Amino acid sequence: MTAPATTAVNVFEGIPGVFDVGVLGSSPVRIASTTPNALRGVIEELKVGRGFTHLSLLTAAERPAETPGVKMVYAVTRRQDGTRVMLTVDLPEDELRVPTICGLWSGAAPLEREVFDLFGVVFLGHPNLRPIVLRDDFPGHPLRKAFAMKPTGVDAEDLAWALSSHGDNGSEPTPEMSDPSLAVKLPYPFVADVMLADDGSGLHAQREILNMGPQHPSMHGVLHLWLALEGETVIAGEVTHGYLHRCIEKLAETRSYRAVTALVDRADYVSGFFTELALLGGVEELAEIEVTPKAQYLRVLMSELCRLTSHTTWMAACGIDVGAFTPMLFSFRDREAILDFFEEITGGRMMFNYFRPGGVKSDLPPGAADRLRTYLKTVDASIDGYEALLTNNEIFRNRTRGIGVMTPEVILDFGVTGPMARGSGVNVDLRRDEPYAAYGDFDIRVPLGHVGDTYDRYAVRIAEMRESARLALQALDGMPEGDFVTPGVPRAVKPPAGAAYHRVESPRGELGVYLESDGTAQPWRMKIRSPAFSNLHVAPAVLPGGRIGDIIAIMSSVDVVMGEIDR
Amino acid sequence: MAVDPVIVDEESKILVAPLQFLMNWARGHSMWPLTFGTACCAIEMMTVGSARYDTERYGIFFRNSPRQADCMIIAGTINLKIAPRVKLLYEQMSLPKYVIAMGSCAVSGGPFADGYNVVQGVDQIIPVDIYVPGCPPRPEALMNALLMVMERNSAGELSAAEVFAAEHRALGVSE
Repeated sequence: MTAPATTAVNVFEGIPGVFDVGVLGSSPVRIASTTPNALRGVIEELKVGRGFTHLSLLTAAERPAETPGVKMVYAVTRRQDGTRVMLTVDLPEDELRVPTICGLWSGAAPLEREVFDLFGVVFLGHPNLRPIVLRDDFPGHPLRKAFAMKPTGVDAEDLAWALSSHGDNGSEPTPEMSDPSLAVKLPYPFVADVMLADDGSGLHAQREILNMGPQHPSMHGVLHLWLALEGETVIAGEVTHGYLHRCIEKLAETRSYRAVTALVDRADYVSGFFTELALLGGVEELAEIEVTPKAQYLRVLMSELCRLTSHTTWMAACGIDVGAFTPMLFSFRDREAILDFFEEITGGRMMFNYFRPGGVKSDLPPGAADRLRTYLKTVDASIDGYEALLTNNEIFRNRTRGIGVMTPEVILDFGVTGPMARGSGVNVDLRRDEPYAAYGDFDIRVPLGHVGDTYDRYAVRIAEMRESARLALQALDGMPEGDFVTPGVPRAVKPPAGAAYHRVESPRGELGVYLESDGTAQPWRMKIRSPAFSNLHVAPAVLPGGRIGDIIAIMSSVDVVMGEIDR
Repeated sequence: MAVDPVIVDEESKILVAPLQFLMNWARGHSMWPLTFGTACCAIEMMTVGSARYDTERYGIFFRNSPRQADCMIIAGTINLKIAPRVKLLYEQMSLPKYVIAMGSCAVSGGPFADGYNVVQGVDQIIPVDIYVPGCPPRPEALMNALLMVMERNSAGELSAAEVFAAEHRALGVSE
């Protein structure tokens, strides 16, 4: 898979300010460095001039101790031919500033807020630079190596200040407008601005603010929506989260690679196999571990079964949100059937820890393949049952049609992926475009929507469930003989120093794990590129104009999993 | 507290009992939990209400408002940002109230206990009646916890909230 060095050079040819051009490890990702001053020009040329329209990753990592500071990491993709490019910018300790790129992708704005929050990097010209996952009054930037975690964790002193205030939505955006030429405006209104604006209509005095969440029955987790209303109509909406930030990325730096699997399982708790797969893809790439063909098929099988359970859970929640309780009873019945298989094969219902470097933990138990085959043949009939309850239900159709419409331009602007992108007719699916595990051997059909409304996103997920059952059957039928794990892989994996970015198609979209190793048994940096994070932050652009009742239906079509968003 | 009812008339089935007994009896058979699902455990909590486990046959009916709830299920990790909300919702519930800490995170912080943002067990914030270990616990475990709450209530035992309040009164400090 190693890309020839000549093509690696070609991508960056003629862009001023780019140096250290190369290839990321053994992957096909082209990598280069640039300076903070040249960054915006380089990314603009990549996006506008060379067609790298999808922002895949925006994160940071600590630099080695000899050269203190932070390294910004950007990854973009050209979807026409699948070329992947990674760009790094080194920031010295006393100069943690870089121009914002949220003028090029609005979806970069929340990602930059996250880096600001966790690393303390200031994004010049950012319109809304506030903490996003931590409390507003949290002291320090925890992902810096200099941040000392108390060995005993949170103590009574920390709790006392935490309980003394709510600690969110209280801070003002950091004014870093020293260079007005860098200032960027986002294409959606902020709640505070809308509430203060007097447009002369006399209506501004009647505007009010509605808080939904963090504990709200239809928020699918601890999510806080902040809406500005004019009567029943939403005129601005913002998302606050971080109520489930549990330090997964920091804790990963203190655990061995095998133990990190258990942590990432809990990141995307509805479909743990995908985070495991993305993590192990990175570990195997770094440490150059071969995976046996049988394990690759088992990974495909488990992923597709997991996609089924994830979509059934989503469908239950979506139905309840628009007032249909009955589909939940059927979908959880079928989910239980698959969870029984999971429990038999992996030992856990939800937290699997099943994928290991070089393969999987154990083979299928005797007879499980036949029983799975029998079960999977009934899935189509179950889905017909769901469709009878929802697709053919006039109330459901009327509640979901024509609301939350997203155009393909919005999809690209915010880095939306997965069923949400496909619902708008954007033809992306990493299983087909960038085959990992054994997906190269499979015939993958990608369902697409036309309008891009909530109903289309529902229809895409229903079609994907049928597709997953078919792929799982295909995996069972094509399962090769042999070892389920490569013999001789050590228990404590110690990859050589380097970086890797591996991504998979999770039920919510492009799930990536960016790994940096310093040659020890613990990762130097592990970042989960969360699809739900990017999908969720499209809300401020989509919600305005909708009515309160529609907000619930639109948000339910996002398929929010807070564990993966907050990490 | 538990006083046995006196059956006055076998034939016409008239029962005389202290009001406290009747209230506990009624409440113990219609335990309405407030869902406070934050993380993975919330999915297993949803499972408890689904067809296979079907808690509604015990009169357990999930509520979304603290004012209608008798017991609070903390299902998932509590961090420093959500902690004030947990306390707020707990304070909005009326007595008698019970708290179930579901899963390792709510019991002790679980796999994230050494993190910089994770509260090491919800009992650091509010009094807990029943701890359900597991990561996440099986739905049967949560059902058992709910049934234990119902039994305690029917038997007229004090909840952790009442014990906590009584201790504070004895010490002469406010809650």
